[in-house]
Amino acid sequence: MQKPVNMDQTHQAGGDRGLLRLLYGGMIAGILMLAGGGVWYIAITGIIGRKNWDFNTYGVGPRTLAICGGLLLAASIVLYFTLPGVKRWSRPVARDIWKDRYRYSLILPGLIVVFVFSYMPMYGIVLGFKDYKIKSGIMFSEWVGAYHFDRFFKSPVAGQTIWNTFFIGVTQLIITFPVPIILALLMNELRSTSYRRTIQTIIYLPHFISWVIMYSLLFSLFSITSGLVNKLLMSLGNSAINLLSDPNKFYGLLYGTSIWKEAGWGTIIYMAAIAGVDQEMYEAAYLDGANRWQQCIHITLPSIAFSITTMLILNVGSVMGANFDQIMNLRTAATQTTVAQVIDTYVYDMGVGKGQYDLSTAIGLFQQVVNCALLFVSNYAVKRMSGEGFF
Amino acid sequence: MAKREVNRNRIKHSLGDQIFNGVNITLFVLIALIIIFPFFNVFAISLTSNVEYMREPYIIWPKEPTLEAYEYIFSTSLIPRSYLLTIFITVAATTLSTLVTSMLAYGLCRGNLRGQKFFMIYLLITMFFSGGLIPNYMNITKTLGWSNNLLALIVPNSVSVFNFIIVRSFFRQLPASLEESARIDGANEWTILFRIIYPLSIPTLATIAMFVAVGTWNSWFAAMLYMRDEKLYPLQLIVRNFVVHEARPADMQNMEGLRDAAGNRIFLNETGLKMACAVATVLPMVVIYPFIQKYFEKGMTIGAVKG
Repeated sequence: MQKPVNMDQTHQAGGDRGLLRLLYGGMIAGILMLAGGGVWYIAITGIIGRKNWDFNTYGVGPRTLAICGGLLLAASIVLYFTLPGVKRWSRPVARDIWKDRYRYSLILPGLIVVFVFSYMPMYGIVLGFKDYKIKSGIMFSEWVGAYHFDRFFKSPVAGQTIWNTFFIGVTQLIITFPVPIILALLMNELRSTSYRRTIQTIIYLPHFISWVIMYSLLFSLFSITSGLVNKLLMSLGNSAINLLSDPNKFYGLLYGTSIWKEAGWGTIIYMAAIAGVDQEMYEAAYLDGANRWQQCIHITLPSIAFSITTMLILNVGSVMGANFDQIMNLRTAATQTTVAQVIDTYVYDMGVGKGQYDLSTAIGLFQQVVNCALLFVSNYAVKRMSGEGFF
Repeated sequence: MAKREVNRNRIKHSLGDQIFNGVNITLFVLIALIIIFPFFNVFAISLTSNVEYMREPYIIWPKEPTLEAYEYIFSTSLIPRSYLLTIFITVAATTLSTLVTSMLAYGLCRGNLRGQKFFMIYLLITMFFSGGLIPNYMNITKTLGWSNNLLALIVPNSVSVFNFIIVRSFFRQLPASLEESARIDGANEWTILFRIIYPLSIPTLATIAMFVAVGTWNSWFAAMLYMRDEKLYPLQLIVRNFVVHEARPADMQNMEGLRDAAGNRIFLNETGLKMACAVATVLPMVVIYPFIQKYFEKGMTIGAVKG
C-alpha cells in the first residue's frame, strides 16, 4: 500500500519540469545509442574486412573505432540509468536487476551460448536472398530476392526431392508410429515383472547406438558379398539379396531400421502412462465381466490417449526431415540421387558438397517454414479434435 | 505395481488367456533375439581369423576366436588416439552442458525475474526455428573460425532446450522455502545452487548428463563438417568413413609387420577390421547402458509430461 502513494508524490513534485527533463535525457541517451550503433556498424564491417578502410574518411583504424562505438553504446546505457529525467523510470529496473544480479549471472552463460549458436546463424538466413561471393561475405553480397527459390522450384530435382521428403516422412510416420503403442500394450500383458524388465532392457538398447553403427550391423548381415544372410542364402544355393543398395528396397530398409532401432525406445512413454492407470478400474472392469482384450481397449488405450496425441504432434511437426542421420548413413551411390534424395540431404550435397551456400540456405529455409507450419497445423487439428493441444 | 500383481494372480486364467500368454511371451523372445543377434554377429565376425573367414561358407561363431583384429586396430595410432579424443570430447561436452543448462534452469525456475518471459520465449523459439545447416556451418567456420577446433564439437550443443525444460520442471517442484531459508542466512544464488539444489537433484542431473553423453558419443556429423584433420576425428566418424564409405583409414594401410607368435605373417580381412572398429566404438555404450537405463526412462517421462 505504501508504494503507489510514494510514486504519486514524486510525480506531483516532478511536474512539467520533470517531463522536460525526461524528454531531454531520453533524447541524449537515444542519440548516443544511435550514434554508437552506427559507429560500431562501420567499424565491424571494417574489421571483417569487407570494406576498404579509408583512413582519411574515418581518421582512426577500425578497431579503435569499434571501441569508440562500444563506449558510446555503454554510455547511453549508463545515461539511461543515471540521467535525472529518466531515472524515475529506470530506478526500479536497476534495483531489481541489482537485487537479482546473481541469478542473472547464472543464466548469462546459457543465454550467450544460445545467442551465439542459435541466433547468430539466423542472420545467415539472408544468404538465401543473396548472391553469395566469398570475398564479399554475407553482409556485402548482392541481394537477388527470391532468385534461389525460383531456381530451386523450377529445377527438375525440386519436385522429386520434395516428394521424396514428404513421402518418406508420411509413410514412415504411418508405419512406425503405431508399433511402440502395440508393443507397449502387449508388454503390459506380460505377467512376470522380471521378464518384462529384461525385455525392456533389451528393446531400449538399439536407441543408444548411432546410425553409423546401425549401418555396420546391417553390413554384417546383408552385405552382398560378406553378409551373413547372403552367405547363408548362397550356401543354400539361392542368389544373394541386395538389400543395402537396391533402390527398390530402400524405403523398406528405412522403415525396417526405424522400427528396429526406435520402436522399443518409443514404448517408454506409453509404459509410463500405463503404469499411472488406476488399478481399481481394471478390478471394476473384471467384476463387470470384461476380458483382457476389452480391458485393454476400454481402459488402457484411452488412458494413454494423451501420450499418443503428444507424440503424434511432435512427430507430425518433424515429418519433413526427421531422419537426416538415418538417410545419410543408409544411402548409397545407387540411391542417393534418386529415392534417397530428401531436402536435408540435398541441402547438404549442394551446400557442403558443392559449395552453393546461397541456394542451399534458401532450400533449408523453405523446409524450416514447412516444418513450423506443419507443427502448428497438427497442434491446431489435435486441439480441435481432442481439446488438448501441445501449446 | 505390487497391488496389480496380486490382483492379476487372483484372476483365473481361461484357456484362451493361457494361449495368448504363451504367444505373447514367445513374441517377445523373438523380438529380443532379433535385436541381440546383429550385435552378436558383428562381435563374432570381429573375432574370426582371416583363414577361417575365407574357408567357411558362413560363420555364426568362429571355431577358433582370435583377438588379432583388436590387437591390430589398437596397435595403430589412429584408434587409441581417437578413443581418448572421443572420451575427452564426451566428458567435456557433458560437463559443460549439464552445468550451463542447469544454471539456466535454476535462474529461470521461479517466475519473479525481470525479463523472465522474454528469456523463456528467447529459449523456446530455438526449439522450433534455427538458422539451418549452412548458416550454422558458416557461423562456426567463418564467424567463429572454429574449423579444426575441438571447441566446435563441445560448445555448440551446451544448451539443449529439451534438457532445460526437464531440469526446470524438476527445480520448480522443490520447495521454495529451501532457497528462502538459505537466502535469509545470507547465501547468494550461486551458493544455493551448488550447495543446496545440486545435491538434491543428482538423479535429474544424471539424466540430462546421460542424454548429452550419448548424443556426443554418437555424433559424427559435426566432426565431418568442422574437422579437416583425421587426427581430430572422433570414433564414429572413423567408423563411418571405414564402413559406410569403404575407405580404410590411412593408418591401417600398412599390415606388413603383422606376425603371430611363431613369426608367420598374419592377414586380416577388411570385414573383420571394420567390425572390430564398430565393436570398439559401441562397446562403452553397451557396457554402461544397463546402469543408466533407469535415468533415461525417467528423463523421457518427465520430458514428455511437462514438454
